[in-house]
Amino acid sequence: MTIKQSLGLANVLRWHDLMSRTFYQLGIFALSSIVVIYSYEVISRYVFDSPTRWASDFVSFLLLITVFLVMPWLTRAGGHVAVTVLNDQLPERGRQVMLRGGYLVGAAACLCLGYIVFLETWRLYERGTGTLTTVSIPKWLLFALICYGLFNSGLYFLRLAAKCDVTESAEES
Amino acid sequence: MISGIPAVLVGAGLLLLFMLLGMPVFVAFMLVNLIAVFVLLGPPGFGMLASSFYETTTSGSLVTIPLFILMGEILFRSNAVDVLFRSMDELVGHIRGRQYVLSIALATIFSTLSGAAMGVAAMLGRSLLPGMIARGYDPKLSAGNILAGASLAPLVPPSVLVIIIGTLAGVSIAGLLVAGILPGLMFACLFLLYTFIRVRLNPKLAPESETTDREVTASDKVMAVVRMLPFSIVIISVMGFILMGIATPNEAGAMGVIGALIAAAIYRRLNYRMVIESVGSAAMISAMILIIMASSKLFSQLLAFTGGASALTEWVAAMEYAPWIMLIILMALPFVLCMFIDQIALMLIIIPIYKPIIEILGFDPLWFWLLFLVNITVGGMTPPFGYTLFALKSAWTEGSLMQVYGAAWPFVLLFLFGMVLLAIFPVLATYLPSLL
Repeated sequence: MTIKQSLGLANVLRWHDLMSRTFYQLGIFALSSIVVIYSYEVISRYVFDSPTRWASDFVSFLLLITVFLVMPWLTRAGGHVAVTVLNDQLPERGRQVMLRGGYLVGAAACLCLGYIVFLETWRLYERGTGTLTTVSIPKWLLFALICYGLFNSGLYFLRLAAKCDVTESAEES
Repeated sequence: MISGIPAVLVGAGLLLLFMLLGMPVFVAFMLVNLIAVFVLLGPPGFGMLASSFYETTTSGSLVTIPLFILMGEILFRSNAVDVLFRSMDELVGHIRGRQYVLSIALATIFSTLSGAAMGVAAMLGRSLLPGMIARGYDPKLSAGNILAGASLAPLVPPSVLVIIIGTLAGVSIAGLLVAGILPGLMFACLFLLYTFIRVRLNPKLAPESETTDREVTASDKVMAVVRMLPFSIVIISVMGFILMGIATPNEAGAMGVIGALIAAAIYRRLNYRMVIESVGSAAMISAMILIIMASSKLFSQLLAFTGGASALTEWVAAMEYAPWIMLIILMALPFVLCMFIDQIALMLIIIPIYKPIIEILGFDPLWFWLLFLVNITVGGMTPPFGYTLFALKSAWTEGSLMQVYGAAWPFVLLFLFGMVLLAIFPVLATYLPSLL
């Protein structure tokens, strides 16, 4: 790879990280919103005797938003739980091969499932399906976030497989 | 098409194989589901995969998970560790083996606040254990006390594992949370009793007299209690609101977060950076847990679709063993598997299989699932592969893994003894939930 090509790739990776970090911060905001909404709900129910109709629906949407916006950043940090009983017994080289293989399989599974969710998202968009909640919103919006989480995690698994240094990436985050 | 019990064996076998190969747990579930849907339903079934992600992550009952985790994160960043450490140290009087009492009390309280056995074991292994050994306390008994106290984390509310079990098993989450209180206290008392008996029989296990930096006066003890009062805000916000029927577990979780923020403000640690770090960390841990749950949702549906779950239920029902033998069989499997597999992953595999079986056997669901919770908790500290053992070993650099194993065994047996008590006296688990 030439210097120009590797600089170009580094730029792409930097933009990739920037985008993922921004979505991760939105995920943090979504989690904070859950606390605010539930606190508001308890106060409005017991202090003002006027419970909301929307709080539980919004909170369930926010849970999905939190999970799938944070998921790629979690993958980048190598934060997914795995059973390492066998890996720990292997010599360093064997351990790296197992890790790399696991990341590649993870990438394939996430990208494949991301594609399946994308097709479902498109179908929901074309049909104009809404959520079956008191406050209905277009369902494809939420499915699009699942799609983002899976696709982007797949990309980070590929990056981990190429670099294969979990601790370094975890420390960076 | 593969169906019935062979379908369960193939599905669970593939899952275990993928996990043991070191793949992330959620990837193992996704792969098995992808293969199973492709084989059983073909491409038209792929929509089910997408829907299973949506259904799980918009499930109202699971919102409690990030809220409990966030509460623990805030408390750990709010000087809570130092305050508890100092206060408990002053409150435990001058009795022989006082540091053992301190280690169990601290491990139990930290477990309550954090809900993470591994974290508590590692923290106390680094902070408390070296000091105990230096003062002449027996290393194995000290390490065992810390391991056992930390292992109460999933049992004592607020507990993330309880939310997962309640959601998967369709049991009242509030009931299951409350059900853990008495057994948690019972186990803590069992550990103390065992330790005192050991010290009484062999006085060399604890130093005869301990010189403290200064004499602790009555006013010091009052101040120690006052310093711990902010924690009561958190406990009232969570368990108090649930017991009084004011808030659902979700709302109590949010109130607990507010309570933790107030406690942090009282300890003068509340600032923007601390809050952001806490929320960020809670979001990451929650996403890790919930993505595993979302990936596993279809696995239980496929078990039902292939007739595997019902075939297994019929098979168990036809066994006609006495209920107590069935209970032992049902508890033995997760006990062994939990030594090798992550607790959450194991619950996601086993609970959908067990759920119809315990209905057939007529067990009280709250009682059974609480026993199950204790069981998988013990699995986490049982040699040779319990995760909590490795957490303690990594923190206790001077100790060998064999010493950690030796420290764990007596307390594993104590846990099993406590489980027998719970099995014989179900009221220990069902009394508090009956008041709700």
